[in-house]
Amino acid sequence: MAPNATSILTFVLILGASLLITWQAGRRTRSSSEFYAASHSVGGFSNGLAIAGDHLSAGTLLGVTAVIYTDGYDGLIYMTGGAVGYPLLMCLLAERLRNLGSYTFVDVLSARFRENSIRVLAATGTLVAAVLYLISQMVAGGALFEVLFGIPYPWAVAMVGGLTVLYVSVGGMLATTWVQMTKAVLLMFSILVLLALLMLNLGEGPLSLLESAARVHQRGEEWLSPGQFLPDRISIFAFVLTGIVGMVGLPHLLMRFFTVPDARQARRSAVFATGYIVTFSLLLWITGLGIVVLLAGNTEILDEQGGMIGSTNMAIMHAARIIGGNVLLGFMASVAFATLLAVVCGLVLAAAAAMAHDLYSGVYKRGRVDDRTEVRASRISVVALGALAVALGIQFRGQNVAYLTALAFTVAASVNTPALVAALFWRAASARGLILGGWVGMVVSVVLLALSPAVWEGALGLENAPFPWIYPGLFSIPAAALVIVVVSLADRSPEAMLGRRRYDELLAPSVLGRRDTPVI
Amino acid sequence: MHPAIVAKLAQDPDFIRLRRLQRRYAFTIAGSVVAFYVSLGVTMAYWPEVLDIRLVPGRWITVGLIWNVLGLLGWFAATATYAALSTRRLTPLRARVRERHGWNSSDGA
Repeated sequence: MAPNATSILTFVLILGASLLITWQAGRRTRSSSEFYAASHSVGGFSNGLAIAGDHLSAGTLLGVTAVIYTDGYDGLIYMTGGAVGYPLLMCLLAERLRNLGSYTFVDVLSARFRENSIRVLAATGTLVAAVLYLISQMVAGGALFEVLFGIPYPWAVAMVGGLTVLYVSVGGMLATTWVQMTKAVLLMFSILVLLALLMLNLGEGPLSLLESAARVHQRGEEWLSPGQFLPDRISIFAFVLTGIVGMVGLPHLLMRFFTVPDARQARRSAVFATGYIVTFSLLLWITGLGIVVLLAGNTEILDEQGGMIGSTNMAIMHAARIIGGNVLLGFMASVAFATLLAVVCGLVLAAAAAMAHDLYSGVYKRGRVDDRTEVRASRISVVALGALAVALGIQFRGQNVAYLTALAFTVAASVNTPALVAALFWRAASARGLILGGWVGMVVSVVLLALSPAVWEGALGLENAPFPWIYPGLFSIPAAALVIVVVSLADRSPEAMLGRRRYDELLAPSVLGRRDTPVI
Repeated sequence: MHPAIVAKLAQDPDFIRLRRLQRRYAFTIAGSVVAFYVSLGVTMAYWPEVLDIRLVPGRWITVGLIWNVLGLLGWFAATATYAALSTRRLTPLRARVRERHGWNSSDGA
């Protein structure tokens, strides 16, 4: 795939449009409320589109099509598991988050427990989960640019990082929301176009694509058997558990519920987002089948070693070029770029909020920071996070981006979700329990991730990973929950009693909404 | 919040009903979603051959395919159902309780 004028032109057009959006948003972004939460003024439909935009990352577009290409049916399992958190987010958290928080979910924890250690824990959980998620997007971005424009991988990653810093530091949440919405619409349009062209080109409908894919795939019918990428029971249960609780703790998704004016709009956001994601997932799976049929036996997509040029993450791009030439390739690549850029912006914003709002302003300055200083601290955090993301993106080159995304889910599921659920739903929960349980979840998940094959062998280049499974959630999530329960039940300190009284006090606002806001 | 306000609210029958209904809707729907998904995981782990069963002879319309597609559609149905129930059934209750306890006035009366 050599660089071509159409690809570059489409890319420049999308880049120009997003820069214009950022400039417009930047003019309206001065205060911390505008920077973190777009002044709580985003409507339910717009926020739903933006949530879908956050969910449908480069990991979905490139990584899931790669999973479908190599493991068939498992791509569908991956998407079902990836979206199972939305009904839970809706039923358990959306309204309460909006009713109790200001900018981040850490505000909700702090509303019940005043201890600074809670802020430190939750902000650290946010940072680790966001950075892991960032790695997957940077890896995808680097691979995409390398293949599309022939730019060396490290420079490609640096370019994505640089643009992200520019967008977020200038435009804050408003720019991130608008870029997400634009990207969500482009993404749906692009997948509809690709699917239509695939079906026309192959002369097949969705059901016959299923039959043809099973017939032409090199692994034959086994390709459509479930569980190829989850080789044992531990991995299956870890994947299921992480899918259920991981999304509920993803900081950049939780942050979206603070951008709407009230709980009704929060509910509308979740409904629109889920509908959009479900529709896209089904279309993407059928598209994946078409890609398998199209690419079967095609040798021009292979490198000297017999692997796919740019790794299987590029399967959808190869398909776009074959059926639509450079025009479709340029368009798809630009959409993929917009996709990952928008997600990276959301992640960097969530991580910057954790650093500047939760750690710097909330913990270090104990809330005694003026608005301008906090926004400046956020912008400095954005630059630091951009640099970190670039460095890690280079280190993790070549890893499957869908898998890397799952790592972020693991940390979110092990640290943020148990703390948030306990704080909102369990009167007996104590700060000490949450802090100890959260750190146990963090340490267990991060250590096991480091010892797992993907990091030990894939990123560090060592042999024989000590932890043989790919997802550590089955160990880290129960460990965190168990420590929270045991320590909270044993805690009879005055602080624990105060925390229980705060639960009673926060019950009314969490159910009824804040005072002086319209009925929701 | 003043403890007297908390105590008064805790005894309000509408507030009690509101909490009970909210818990019922939320936990029933969330529980159903979790049960559906966990059952898919258990089947995958212990009886993967069940997911390979073809519902249409000779074609790849398998139990696993239908299970996953139903799951995805079910996630949307669950989310939409809770939103509708909350807006239609719980919002009027919320409005009554807020009105009765001066939740809408800035003096907090």
